Amino acid sequence: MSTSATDGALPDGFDWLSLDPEEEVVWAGNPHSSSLVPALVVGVPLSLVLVGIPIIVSAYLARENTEYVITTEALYKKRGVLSRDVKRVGFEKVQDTSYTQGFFGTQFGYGTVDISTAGGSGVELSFDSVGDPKRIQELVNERIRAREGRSSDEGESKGDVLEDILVELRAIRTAVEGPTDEGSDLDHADEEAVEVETDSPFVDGDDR
Amino acid sequence: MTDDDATPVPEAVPVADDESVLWTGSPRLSAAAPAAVVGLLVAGIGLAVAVGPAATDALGLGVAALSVLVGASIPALSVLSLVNTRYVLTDRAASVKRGVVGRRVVRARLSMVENTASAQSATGALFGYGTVTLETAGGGVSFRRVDDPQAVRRLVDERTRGEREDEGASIPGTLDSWRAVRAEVRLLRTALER
Repeated sequence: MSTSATDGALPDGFDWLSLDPEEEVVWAGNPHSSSLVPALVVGVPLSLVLVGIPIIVSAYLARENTEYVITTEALYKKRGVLSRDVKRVGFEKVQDTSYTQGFFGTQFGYGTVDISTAGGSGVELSFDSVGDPKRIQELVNERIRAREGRSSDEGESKGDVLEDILVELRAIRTAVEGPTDEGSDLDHADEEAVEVETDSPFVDGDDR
Repeated sequence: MTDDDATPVPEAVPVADDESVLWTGSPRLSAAAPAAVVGLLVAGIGLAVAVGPAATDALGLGVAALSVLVGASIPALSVLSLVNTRYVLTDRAASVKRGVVGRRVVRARLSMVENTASAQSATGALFGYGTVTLETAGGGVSFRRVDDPQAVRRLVDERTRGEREDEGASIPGTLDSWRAVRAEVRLLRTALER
C-alpha cells in the first residue's frame, strides 16, 4: 500500500481517488484474502523450482494494489502494482448488476460483482473476488435508489416550476382581461402587456 | 397469477425492504426433456452394445452399468440446474439466480429496460409456457420456460409504463432555464398588476 496525505474521509493509499466536493465514500475494500488460495496452491509446490515465488508474490501484490470504492456518485476500481489503472462508472449509467460466486466463493464468502453499462458489450467494471458480493450488490442498488430519490426530492423539479409559471400566467391573464369586460379596455391592456414583455407570447395568446 | 407465486425468493437475491415482489418463478422441468432423451439414447446404445457385440460378460456388464450411469446423470444434472434457477420480479428490478454449487445472480433495473418480449414455441403455446426477455442497453435478463409469459411481460410493462410516462413527458430545457422563465413571468405579473 502506498501511503499519502489523507484527506479526512479517505484512508491511506487513496490518493488515486479524486472526488467531487459533495461526493462521499460509502464503501471501500479490496479482494478477499481467500482469493490468494489458488496462487498459493499453485505457487507453493512450484517454489521448489523457484518459479512459484514470483507467482505468489505477484498475486499478493496484485491483491494489495487493487482497490474498490463505492461513493455516493459512482463506482471506482483501481488496479496496478507499478502502473495505475483507475476506472469509474457513474451510477446514472449502470444498467445491470450481477454477482457470481463459485464453489469456493460460496464457502469462503467472496464473489465477483459485475456492473454493466450501456457502453459496449456487457461488463464494464467488475469487483473481482470481493467479500460478501450480495451486500455489494445491495449497496449499489441502494445508492442508485438514493440518487434517483434525491434528484426528485431535492428542491423542485421542472414540473413544479412549470406549475408556478402556469399560476403566474393565469394571474397575468386575469390582470390583462381586467376587472371590466369592455372591449376597448381589453385591447388597451393587451397592448400594454406586449409593450412590457415582448418575449412572452403567452400574453397575446389568450383566447378572447 | 400462477402456482409459481408460492416459490419463495431465494436468499441469494437481494431485495430491499421497501421493494415489493411482484412475481417469482422457475423454469419448467420439461426443459430437461432434451437431456432426458439424450440420456435414454446413451443408456440404450450402451445396453445394446453390451448385449450385442460385447462378448465377455464382465465387459458387457461394465459397459451397461457405465452407460446407464451416464445416461441417468445427463438429465439429472439438467434437472438440478433447472431446480436451482429462480426468477424474481420486483417493482424495481428483475433478477435471475442460477447455479448449483456456486451461484450467479443477474439483476436488471426495470427503469433501464428498453424492450420486453415474450416468446412461445409451438409446444410452449400448447402447454402454456414461454420465455420472457427484458432487454436493457447493457444486456438484460431472460426468464426461460416460465408459466404464462404474457402475464409476466404485462407485469413488467405495467411497471415500466409509469416510468416511461415520466420520461416521455420529460420537459425539455434545464431546471435553471425554467426558473429564469418563472422569474420573468413573475416580474411580468407584478408589472401588470401595478
